[in-house]
Amino acid sequence: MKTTTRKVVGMFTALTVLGAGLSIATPVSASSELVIWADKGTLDTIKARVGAWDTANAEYTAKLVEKDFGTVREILKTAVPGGTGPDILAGAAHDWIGNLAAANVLTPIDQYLPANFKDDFVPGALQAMKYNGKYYGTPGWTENIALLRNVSKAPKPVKSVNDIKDGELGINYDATNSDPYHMYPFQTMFDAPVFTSDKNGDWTNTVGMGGTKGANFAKWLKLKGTKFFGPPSNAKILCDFLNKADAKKKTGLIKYWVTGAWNINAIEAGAGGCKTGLQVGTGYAIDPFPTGPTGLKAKQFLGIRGYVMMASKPGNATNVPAAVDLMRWMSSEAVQFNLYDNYNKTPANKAALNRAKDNPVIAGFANAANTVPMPNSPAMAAAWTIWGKAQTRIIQGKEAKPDVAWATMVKALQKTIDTTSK
Amino acid sequence: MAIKKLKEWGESGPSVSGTLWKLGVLGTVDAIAVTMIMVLLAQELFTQAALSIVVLLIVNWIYLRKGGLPAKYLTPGVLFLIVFQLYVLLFSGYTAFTNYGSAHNGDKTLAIQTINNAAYRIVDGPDYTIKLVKDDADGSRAFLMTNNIDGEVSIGKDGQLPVVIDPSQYTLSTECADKYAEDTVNCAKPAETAVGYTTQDVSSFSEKEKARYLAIRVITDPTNPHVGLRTSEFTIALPSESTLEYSESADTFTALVDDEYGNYFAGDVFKAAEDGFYRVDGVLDNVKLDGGWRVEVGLKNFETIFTDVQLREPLVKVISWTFMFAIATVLTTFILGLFIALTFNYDKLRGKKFYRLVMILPYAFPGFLSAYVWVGLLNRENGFINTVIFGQTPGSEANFPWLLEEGPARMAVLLVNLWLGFPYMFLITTGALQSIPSELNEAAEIDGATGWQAFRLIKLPLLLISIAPLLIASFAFNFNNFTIIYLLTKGGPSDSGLTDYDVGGTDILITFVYKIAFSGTGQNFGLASAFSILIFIVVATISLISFRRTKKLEEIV
Repeated sequence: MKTTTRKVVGMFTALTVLGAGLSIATPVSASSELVIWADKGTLDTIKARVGAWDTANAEYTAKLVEKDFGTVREILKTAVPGGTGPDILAGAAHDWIGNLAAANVLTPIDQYLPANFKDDFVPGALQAMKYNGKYYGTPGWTENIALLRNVSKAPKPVKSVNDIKDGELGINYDATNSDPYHMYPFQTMFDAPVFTSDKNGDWTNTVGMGGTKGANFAKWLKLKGTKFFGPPSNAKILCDFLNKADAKKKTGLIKYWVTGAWNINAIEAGAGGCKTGLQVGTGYAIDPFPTGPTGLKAKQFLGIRGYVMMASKPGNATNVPAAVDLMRWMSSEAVQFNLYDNYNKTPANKAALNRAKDNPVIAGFANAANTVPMPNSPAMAAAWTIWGKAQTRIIQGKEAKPDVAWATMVKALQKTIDTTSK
Repeated sequence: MAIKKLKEWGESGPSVSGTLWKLGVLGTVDAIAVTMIMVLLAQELFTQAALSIVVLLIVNWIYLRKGGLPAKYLTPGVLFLIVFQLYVLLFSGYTAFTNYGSAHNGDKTLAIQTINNAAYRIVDGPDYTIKLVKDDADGSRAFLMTNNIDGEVSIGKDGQLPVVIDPSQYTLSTECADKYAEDTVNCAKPAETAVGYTTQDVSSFSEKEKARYLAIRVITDPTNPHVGLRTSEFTIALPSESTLEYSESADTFTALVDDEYGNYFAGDVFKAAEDGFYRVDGVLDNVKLDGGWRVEVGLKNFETIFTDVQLREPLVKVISWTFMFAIATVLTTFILGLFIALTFNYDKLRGKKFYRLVMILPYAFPGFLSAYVWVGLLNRENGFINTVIFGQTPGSEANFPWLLEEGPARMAVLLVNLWLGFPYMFLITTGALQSIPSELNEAAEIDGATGWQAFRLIKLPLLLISIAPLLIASFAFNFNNFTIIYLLTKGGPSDSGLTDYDVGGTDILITFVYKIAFSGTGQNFGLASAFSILIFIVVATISLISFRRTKKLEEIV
């Protein structure tokens, strides 16, 4: 019995020591590994360039991890403070920045970048990454919507929104929460900006779409209703835009489509049961938005997708030099031109954009752009819902007095913003 | 035979191979645990490490000692119970009394770090590409700085003005200052080495050494100590001004300059306020600094539930629908299940087994799968129900809006849940019916009772004795039937007017709570946990009362 015990203890000790040995041999924290989270689309876009950086920088290893675009923002809020977050989030929508910065998730990056770095980008791109006076990310590519036109159905650009008849417009919006992003050009035709702006052109925290101007827009929304804005069924827009008009079956009536570059591939390829695709110039055109009922020029949001650096957990430093280096690499002319060349991403880098300008799609969206940066205050996450809900209810005719409903929404929105920022 | 073997085994002790197996498994567990403890120690999580060591020692003691067989069987289960049940319960309970959520998602150290990270302002002035050097004369640390605009090279030491050095005293690097410049020939190149200084290799630095260089602040204005050149990632030095100063002893942030947005002014003191933010003078209504931490807020979350006007309207709606949903589901599934059970209980029916099998099918499919199939069937434009059963035009937006409007969506949810739930009721009532002695039925027939009378006065009361607890369980289950609601409608259609809370027409309490906790409009784990506790109380109370009632039923017999 004694010997068995001794054997047992011996073996146990041996195994434990083995375990300890293994644990020492494996590096406890791989400090040279740079973890990048990205949604599927972004990941496919940047994979090759990140790989090139990885190969060129032997001292670092870049690890790309796919995350769902819809939920990654909320996941970061628990992952980063918990120490399981990444070093960089790639493809971050710039309107998330305020929300994430206020939630202990981000580190400002202008302390890592030379002053002339700002000059590398198109106006507004780096500005969009600014929150509370600091830059929280580097721009990857820009996105803005335009009015796409089927040339065979409408040979000439439409001048005024009054000239678009019911059923001719395609616009993507959600059945309950609407989509103030796609609706914004129409709202600005009434000079009702979402927030007021200060003397530098930065957004303030005061909701600017109240008053008579906002009320006018609300009344116009109700007047136009679902007849004009269509029932919110996104699936059909593409086909109805591509197919020939058939008055009997009431299909193919859409002449104009409010959308962005992300739908260009589908339009040019023709998807599903739709007819063959259309080519830019001969088949479809990218136009600026028409003027409003009173002749006011429409504005759309400039959306920036970029790279943001995570705050580190206390006592567990983020790999700052590596992260900065990768962010500068992804901002460089060569990489941004490459992303345009291979993935049709409009460069935020000035020099790369100039080289890409001969592309008719890029030029079309740039020409259609009369943009303002999308607001990025912490309350934006909630604001989109409150704002959009009111829009949908008015469009669907659920509000007897649209101006009152709009004013109620403005008040609720202001309250939400005040409680968040206070 | 088996018993005899077992006895022999018990007397002669464990077999050699058994012992080896045990040691192998235990050794693996130990190896993993030791690795884990080393990691915990490396991250300076001493409490967790100590706890792991204690647990590890106990586990080893249990399995290496002779005898104590029950403990050997129970230990893994108990450990998992503690980790996955007890801990979760206690943690949600605790969370209900905190403000854990989006802006309060970490501890105070994290908040302080967040504030410190942003407590600077980049000011006008040249920026420099730097190399980290040591002075050969006294070993002091310095930056070898190349001005990015005019290329002038200087040495910068902590607390001193930069000293310009002569071109003969340094050599330029062969690489561009901008590592990713397109033109690598004509680009600006920074100084690499200087006479009298040794250039350091950052990649060989320890964390401490890095911190020493990060602390260097080369002043540029002798009159203002808060402005200076510093580096954050060892290749660039930028002129920046500190905006806030943290005092560890007083636990306060002091503003050094006026905020550029006019929110606070130089000299303002931010103290930890009770809501988990640094606010001016620590007063609740004053301006705060971004970066909050989790604090205990007492009963505030419960107060919100009962007093928030914004919450009242949606909450009343959600609660009433939750009860409607749970009660209606139990009633409809029970009635349909019972009806079918009675039908198939008829002795002369042929092919009973086959029918019963078919009836159980919905129960046999995974609920997740069925729910998604139903979403497709109920699609407004092209769903099977609309186009085939009701013969509406495919693709038309005028079709019946299953799932898209509140009334129809509620109906759809109940219908689908009926489809998913009746087989269960059918199964249990069939079982219960078969246990009712047939003599009772015969006696009733002889006494001249009609079929309905026999059912109502004899079978149903007897059924309810055995089934009532199951009905209560079914109610409790459906009260929190997250799956069916979330998979069918996600709680939508969300059209509840204009409140701060995202609530839809088919939201039951648990999906509403899920949205509060995890939805995109801002997480609030504290409030959600408070709700969970209330839900538990409601369900527990109802179940308790109902079980008391069923005891009365038993007295019938």
